[in-house]
Amino acid sequence: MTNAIFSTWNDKLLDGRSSNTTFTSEQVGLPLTYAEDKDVNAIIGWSGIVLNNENTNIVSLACEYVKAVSMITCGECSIGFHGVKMSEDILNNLVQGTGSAGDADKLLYIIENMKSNTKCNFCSSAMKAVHDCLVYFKNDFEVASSPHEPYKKASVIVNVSAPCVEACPIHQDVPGYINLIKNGRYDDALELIKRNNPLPECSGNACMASCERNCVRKDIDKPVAIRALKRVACEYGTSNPVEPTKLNGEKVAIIGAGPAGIAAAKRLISLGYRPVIFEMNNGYGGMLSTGIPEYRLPQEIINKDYNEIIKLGAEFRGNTPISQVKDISGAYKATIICNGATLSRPSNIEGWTENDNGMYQGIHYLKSVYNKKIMPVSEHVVVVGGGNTTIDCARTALRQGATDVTILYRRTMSEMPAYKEEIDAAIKEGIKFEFLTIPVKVQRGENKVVEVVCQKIELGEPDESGRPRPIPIPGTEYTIYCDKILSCIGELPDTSIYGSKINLTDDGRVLTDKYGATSAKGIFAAGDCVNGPSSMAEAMASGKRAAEGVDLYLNKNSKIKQSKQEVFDTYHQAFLEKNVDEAFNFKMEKQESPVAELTYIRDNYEQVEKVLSKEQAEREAERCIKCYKVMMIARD
Amino acid sequence: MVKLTIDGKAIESKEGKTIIQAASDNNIVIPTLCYNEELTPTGSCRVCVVEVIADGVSTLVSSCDTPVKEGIEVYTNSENAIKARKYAIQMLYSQNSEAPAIRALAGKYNITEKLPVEESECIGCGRCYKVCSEVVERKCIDMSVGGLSNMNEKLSVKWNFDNCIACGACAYVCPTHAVSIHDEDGVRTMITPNAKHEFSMKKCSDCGKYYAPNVQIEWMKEKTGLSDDKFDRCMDCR
Ligand code: SF4
Ligand code: SF4
Ligand code: SF4
Ligand code: FES
Repeated sequence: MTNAIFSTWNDKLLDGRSSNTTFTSEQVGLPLTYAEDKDVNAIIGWSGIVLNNENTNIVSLACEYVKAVSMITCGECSIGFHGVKMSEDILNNLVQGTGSAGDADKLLYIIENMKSNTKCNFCSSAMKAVHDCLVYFKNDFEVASSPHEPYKKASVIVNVSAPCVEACPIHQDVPGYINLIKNGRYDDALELIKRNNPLPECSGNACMASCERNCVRKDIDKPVAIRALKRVACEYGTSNPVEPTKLNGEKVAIIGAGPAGIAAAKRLISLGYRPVIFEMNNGYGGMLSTGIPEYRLPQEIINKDYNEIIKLGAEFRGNTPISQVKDISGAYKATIICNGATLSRPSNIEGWTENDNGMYQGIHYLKSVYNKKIMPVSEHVVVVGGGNTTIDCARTALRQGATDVTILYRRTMSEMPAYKEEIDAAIKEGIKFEFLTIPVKVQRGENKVVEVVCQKIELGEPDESGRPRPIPIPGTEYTIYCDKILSCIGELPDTSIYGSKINLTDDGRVLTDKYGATSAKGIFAAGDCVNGPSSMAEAMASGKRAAEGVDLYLNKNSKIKQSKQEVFDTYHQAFLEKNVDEAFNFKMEKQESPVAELTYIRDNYEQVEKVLSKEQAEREAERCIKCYKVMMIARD
Repeated sequence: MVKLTIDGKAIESKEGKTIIQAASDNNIVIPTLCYNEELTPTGSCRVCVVEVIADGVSTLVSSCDTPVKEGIEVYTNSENAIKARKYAIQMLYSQNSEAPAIRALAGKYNITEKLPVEESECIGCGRCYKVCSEVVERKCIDMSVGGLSNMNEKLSVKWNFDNCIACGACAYVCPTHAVSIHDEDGVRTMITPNAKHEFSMKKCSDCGKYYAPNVQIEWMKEKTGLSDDKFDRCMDCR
């Protein structure tokens, strides 16, 4: 167990140098090792410096760190920009042995002035750590200012992120593309987005936007419209046309063309492999097309993203369901399973019969509508659940001709996992909500559902998920008349195709390591079949990681930097924290995306949300306060 | 209304105003450089820094882009504020010691020593960017800045002359004359920190004098919807 000897993290001074005391990770407030047991010598970042190994060369550490900070400093104020540049020069001299007496004082003068008067928090908080070095390791800087042999360069891992970036599973450079949009550089914004997003159009239109839920601006007024701005970049920007890439690598099979599969394909192409995608449906998209209704994500938008990756060099075999993984895995050096979570959890409502006339699992209902297997009828519909599928089902039911739609949810509106905008849109379209309610029994009449018996709930202590546990209240049963009931209580992967060599978790998901490797050699898995039902962005991240896993497996000289990833994962929580002083930030009005005024709703699958205008987009982009944070880890 | 004090004086100000507006409404002058009343603040030069005490906590803020808040005490010339302001002026002076606006500030605050930074006419104040996007509404100027993916150039203002109507608003607001316009022989030349561009000008159909760049006249036509003949004479002959 590594302990720290010195720390200023989180404004807490822990100095055990003279007393030979050490401090635990809890005391410091940061992990002190990564990947369970790998030692860190020092950590330096936006909140201070932590030292585990007393022999670390502080001057050279500070120098490397300021080099990293200097890559990010923006230049919106000269005090920050030039302050960082000057510090870099001085530190460089100190490391090279070409410094002079008084350098430490100059550095202190510059940094003290930066701390009090920069435009945003970035440079001032980033340089606080160097200030700490100067104050608490004064002697080291004085020694460095007399002539000496150049110091050895520390071996470091740098991570730059922001609370929004960190909350995004694929780590989009949110402030980066927003700043480009602010300056009207739509083409560049799109290029930047595409660097780590294989599906810019799809995510611009229908991402769950976990970034927005962690946007610092949320504490000032409202989160920046990060997703809508991505759509803006896709709409007004043109990126370089893609050219088919020359690929000489091995062929890799991918089962399923959902977001995990296509993200894996794109990453494999960038690593030189030739991905072959087997898809049971005819078209592109997997759950994106069958699970997200057209009024949110039209098929032509999905096709735009997919066509590009196919053109890059992915082979697509549609209408090709795989009944056993081993049927194809034998012919490929590696296989990535991305078959999603397409089977429904058994419903525990009394009287429920699977896919019976009038009773549907949510995702099957959406898929049947997508495949035009269910025709619009006037009827009363009840939807059970609180996630995005629930809202999708409810709004789709309305478009399928329902006269009224009621959502039953066992907690309250604030606990609903569904996207806030979607809930609002559902309310606007006239969907009714019954909160703190569960269905207990479906009553059937002749050949069809006639009513559902409900029961009221009270909320108890928080459960494992942190949300209050629902407890039914006896004697509160009542009935709602309905013709159709849709249950959206979660999905599981179709495990029948896996065979016996692939180990599963207790609840029926594929068990993998961090890089998607399953227990069967050469077989990887990614997306919902590993994580359970989750977002498009999580699926993309997981697909990408599995592609890297394939490279680590097939290529002895793989360039995938595992330790870098381990460090990123270790300090994820610290980067997620929002620590911008909002006291003096101006409130700025959020630009809302225009919405289609639907004059009729039955059979109308027009996309409801419209794109922001350029003027709106540039104004919205002004709201981003660029909350970048830098952290550097030194190993030996 | 928001109640606050500035330099000990009790003041009432409308919500949403900045500290500098509240001060100037009460005849308290705070030195500035990048601030321009007609534009939204860029907050880049930091000269207008003041000390604010809110709930017993003291912070330094730029008064041009910080809103007033109930109960705060503002000190425009406290020791901390002066110290920070001096450094901000020293930074400007180190980059450009010729511009009269900067010399005046340096003189007033006795700044003679320079910091080791690269000298440049443009001090990145952002006024040109603001005037072009907010007033002229052409958005020719790009001030994209650093970031995670290094997609942006550093500390630079770049002109996209395809959008530019050569109106000269940017030159007019530039505090250091890093942007300027010159008319000669029917050509308007715009000189910006890193590029030069020439625009042909239109001749007055009466007196024969060149009076405005063609692109600007096209733009006026488009904006007003008036016919060609409304724009073929100079101001004097109209
Ligand atoms: S303000 Fe900008 S950088 Fe900060 S969290 Fe929000 S989107 Fe990200
Ligand atoms: S001259 Fe060109 S760049 Fe300058 S303000 Fe006018 S339109 Fe904008
Ligand atoms: S060119 Fe002038 S107005 Fe524009 S940023 Fe530079 S100094 Fe400011
Ligand atoms: S005048 Fe306020 S920051 Fe320049």
